Amino acid sequence: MKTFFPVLGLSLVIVLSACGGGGGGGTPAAPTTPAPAANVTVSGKVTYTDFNISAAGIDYANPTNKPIRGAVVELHNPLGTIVTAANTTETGGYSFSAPANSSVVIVVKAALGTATAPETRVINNTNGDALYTLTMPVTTVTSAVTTDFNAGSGWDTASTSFTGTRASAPFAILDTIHQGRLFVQAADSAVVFPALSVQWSVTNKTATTQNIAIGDGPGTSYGDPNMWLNGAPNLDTDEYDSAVVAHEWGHYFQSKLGRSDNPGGDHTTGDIVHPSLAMDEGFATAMGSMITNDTSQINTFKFNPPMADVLLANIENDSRLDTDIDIAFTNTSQLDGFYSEQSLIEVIWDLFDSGTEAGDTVALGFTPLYKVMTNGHKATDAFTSIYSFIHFLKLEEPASSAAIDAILEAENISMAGADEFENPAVFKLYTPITVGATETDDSDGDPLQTFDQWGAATTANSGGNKLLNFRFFKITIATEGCYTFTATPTANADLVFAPTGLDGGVVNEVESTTSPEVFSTDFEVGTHSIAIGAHSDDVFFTFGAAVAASPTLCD
Amino acid sequence: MKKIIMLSLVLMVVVSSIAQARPTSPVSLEYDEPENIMAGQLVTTKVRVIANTDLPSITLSASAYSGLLLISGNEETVFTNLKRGDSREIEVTIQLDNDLGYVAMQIASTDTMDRDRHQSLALRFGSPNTTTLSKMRSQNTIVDSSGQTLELMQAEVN
Repeated sequence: MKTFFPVLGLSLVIVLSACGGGGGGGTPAAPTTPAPAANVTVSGKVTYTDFNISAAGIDYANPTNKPIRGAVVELHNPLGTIVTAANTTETGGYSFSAPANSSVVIVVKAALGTATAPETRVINNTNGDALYTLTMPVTTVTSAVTTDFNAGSGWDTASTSFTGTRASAPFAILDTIHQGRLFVQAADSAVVFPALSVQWSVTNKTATTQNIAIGDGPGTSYGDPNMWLNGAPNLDTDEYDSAVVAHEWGHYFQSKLGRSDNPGGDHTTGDIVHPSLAMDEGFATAMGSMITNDTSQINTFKFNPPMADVLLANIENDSRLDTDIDIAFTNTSQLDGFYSEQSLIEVIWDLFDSGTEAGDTVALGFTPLYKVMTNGHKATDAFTSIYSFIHFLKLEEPASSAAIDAILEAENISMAGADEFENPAVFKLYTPITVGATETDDSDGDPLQTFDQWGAATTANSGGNKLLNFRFFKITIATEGCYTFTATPTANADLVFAPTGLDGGVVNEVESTTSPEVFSTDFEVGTHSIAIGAHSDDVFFTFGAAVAASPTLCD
Repeated sequence: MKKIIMLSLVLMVVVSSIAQARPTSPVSLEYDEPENIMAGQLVTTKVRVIANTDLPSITLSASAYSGLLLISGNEETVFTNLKRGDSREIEVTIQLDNDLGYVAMQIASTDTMDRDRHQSLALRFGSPNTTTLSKMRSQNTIVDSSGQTLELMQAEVN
């Protein structure tokens, strides 16, 4: 849709007419009104330079130009003054009506969404969050002008290094995100995408200490409302790693349109993790392959010498051992289960894909997964996990219930007897608590405690992102009011409380600084979950809940 | 639908933005970042490599990335048979050219499923002065009529 802005300058063609009459005594001709300047069409296609990637790295020797799709494109006259704004077409096309015989500028912004207020932007965090913009001056004449132009990569083949402006990088990132948006819009044409700022620069790198303004960042990640991507040459560049970009956009999708209770923090292949982390990472990785339509996922690093990580050789492959978790917590090998992001990558992919192989007769496509993620899973009373997702998926797709169970069984996840919270027959994640009661044991009758069997709570892992770093509790509230939870650790430790709230989601993890550890919150009628963790391991605690007089709300 | 209307003022909020990341290399890196480094000064610091999971092998390589000389510590170092939580140390000595420099750390590891993983990150030495900060900012920046700050990049004609 085009939007017209007031033109701040005018082009005038002044026509001088000779005075009429010859010979003395003639009547002078009336002056003529100057004809308005005619407009001409300025159009063309805009592209960016892209490269194929593989396990050998980025193929800089063989660039290809691809259309810049869906980006904000503007007619400026002069540069900086917006005359008209639109979006490029799916083939990178643009077309404007511009004054004839004038100098205008075609401006393509690394932004997606509404032309006058795009919600996705690729910005330079080392330059005051400036929006990356491609410019092409055009001189119009009196007939239509066609100008095709390209965002170059800045790569010099002769010196095998970057010597020019890396203009294509922001648009390579943008195109992957555009593909993600198309993918989701195919499931919901009315979807409204929330704001997303993608931070990228030629100095962005993973640094042990952060300084965003100089490009020292947290490493490739999404943290609401920003996505961080690396761009430091010959260290780590993300712009052409479409699976990496799509994965991070998958986190944005879950966070802003669906729900994720992922505590975040460092994690690695083979970790036994918080169920919400496994769900969030599993879904994001699977979504990366859905968006790129590529069962392999590669992360490139350097060009001298070339280096790349094959994150997934083939998402269809079963990467884990189908072995149950050892209840005595002695088996720390890599295992399948609800706590494994590798397992959930495979589950989510197999629910989606149209291939049929042994154990996988499900081909749901993305629409049912989208509906669950943005409805039931989003509003669950439990902490998000594969249990909450599958519970609502089976309500959405009851005819596929048995086939869904088969996919999960192949990853050591049993749904027999499971609900949106857990499968108590396999692993009791939640301890029920009742108002006025004090609990000292978990659902297995063992003393309540947190565990560091699969990794201790650290600052790097957000205070605990491994299985049982946090203990989950479930409480049913009959009367709206203020509820105070008291937990008494046997060791000197500050406890972190994380309750679920309205519309789902963890509402502010808060650290108690009192002794005993106290947390108060208002609860409406219904079922709620709360997680309690400690910043030290093997902490035993007693836990009780007391109710303040209703309907008084917490101060 | 449930609603949390208000949280008790007794509590302190400690978590704001949570970063969800790709799986990292199964190795974390820590180092003692020296303070008040002068250009030309020789500075030695320890770099700790921490295994986040059981790892048969870690290979560590350090190189000068920008703004400094790597005087020592640039040899490739291999650590083997690390268990989760194990750490090893190397020492690097640098000399800053000016105010800010980086050592590039390349980490290659093989996990218990024989998969190779790589990670690249930077160790910062020094801090940027106003000249460095100014140079980092593009000179080709304008504010357009909508109030948006734009970093301008010239296109190539096809």
